Amino acid sequence: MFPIINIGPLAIQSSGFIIILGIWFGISSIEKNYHKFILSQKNFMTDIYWALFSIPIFSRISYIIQYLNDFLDHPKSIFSPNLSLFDPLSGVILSAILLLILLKKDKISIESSINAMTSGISLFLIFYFISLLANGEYYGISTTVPWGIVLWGVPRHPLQIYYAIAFMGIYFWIRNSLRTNLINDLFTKFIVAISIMFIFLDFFRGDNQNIVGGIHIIQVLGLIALIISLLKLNLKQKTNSTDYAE
Amino acid sequence: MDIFKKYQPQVSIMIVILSIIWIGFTSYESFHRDPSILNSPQVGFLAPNFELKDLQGNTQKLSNYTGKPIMINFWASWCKPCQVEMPAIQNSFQEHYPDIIFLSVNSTKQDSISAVSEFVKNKQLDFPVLLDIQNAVGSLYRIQALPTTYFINSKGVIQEIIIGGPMSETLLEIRLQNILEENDVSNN
Repeated sequence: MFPIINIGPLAIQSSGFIIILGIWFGISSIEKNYHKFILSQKNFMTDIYWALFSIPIFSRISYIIQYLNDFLDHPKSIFSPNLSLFDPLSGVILSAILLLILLKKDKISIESSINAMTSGISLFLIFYFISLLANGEYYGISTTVPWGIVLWGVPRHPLQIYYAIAFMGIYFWIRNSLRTNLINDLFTKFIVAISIMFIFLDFFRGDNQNIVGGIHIIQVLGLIALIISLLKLNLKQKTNSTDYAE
Repeated sequence: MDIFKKYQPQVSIMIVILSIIWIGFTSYESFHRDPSILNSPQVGFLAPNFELKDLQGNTQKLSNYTGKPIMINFWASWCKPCQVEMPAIQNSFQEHYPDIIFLSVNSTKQDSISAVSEFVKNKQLDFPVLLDIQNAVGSLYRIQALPTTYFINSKGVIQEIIIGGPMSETLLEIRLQNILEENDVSNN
């Protein structure tokens, strides 16, 4: 675990800094590459920023809705800066919906937008898994491999590092695709890659609560995403070759 | 790339088959994995046991409260956020004790017993204040910032850790309700 930085009354976890760095690099990557996907659509980045800024607002609103009675008793807490009073998952989902609405309003192709965001998402996820290492979360099962790291009293698979390295590999593949202009269905290919990664790596997860009778739910979800993405890619290839033949 | 495109359907089927085989193999392995939970100051682990004397000189042992939800608050009398959140903790104690056990561990190595006694008297705190004179419990729980608060369910498993503060009364109430609800579910 990385240290906590104490500044006066504030106890700032280094994982927060890593997440902010990840967002910054991710946005920079999208900004650098989006013109390859969306021509003359200047509102695209503005929509991204709106969606990004809405995440904390939606996260807080979702949290308030879940615990409405408690907030009605202490309404001042609505504006509390405490990060424990957020629901980040709901915030991200609602912001994604907002982004879709904004893109639709600006008549920007949603498929091209998702493809344009792929490099940024993969870059952000490298930092996200490093932040999990900083927090001591998402740790691996105990192991005797020489590269195991001692966490919570026993040597464990450095699962967060496995994921960070895997996402680094995916990011460099995406960067290469952008350079060589092999950008068709980039997001679908990205989903194929991360599905395979989650199917393979989730077995090594030590803090996994989502196991039913030995079956890892993440692996099953990964398999479903993998099949759908591969079907989409194959159908598209078939359609393209039929069009070409005609 | 051309070869991959040529054989894309076959490669796709192969990837799916290999994934299913891997999921099957790992499910078998996971099913036979030791499900016991280790003691560690981390969410999802059993809260490490400790024994400390309180301000009145009574020995308090965490394991004595097994079967009840517990809130442990690490603090010091000079720490501003700790001072701010104490009245909220006292209110919650009055509302939830004895359904929830409240233990406040003072980092006495960086405080003084007289300052702690005065603080407890001024704030009229009724819950047990334990004195961590050697910082043994602080080290055991790897406390890096004050205040730090642990919410432990009735099975002794750490459900949430809040680092820093002050905790608002709303936040405190929500977290206490969560550990209480889990207690009710396991009792039923």
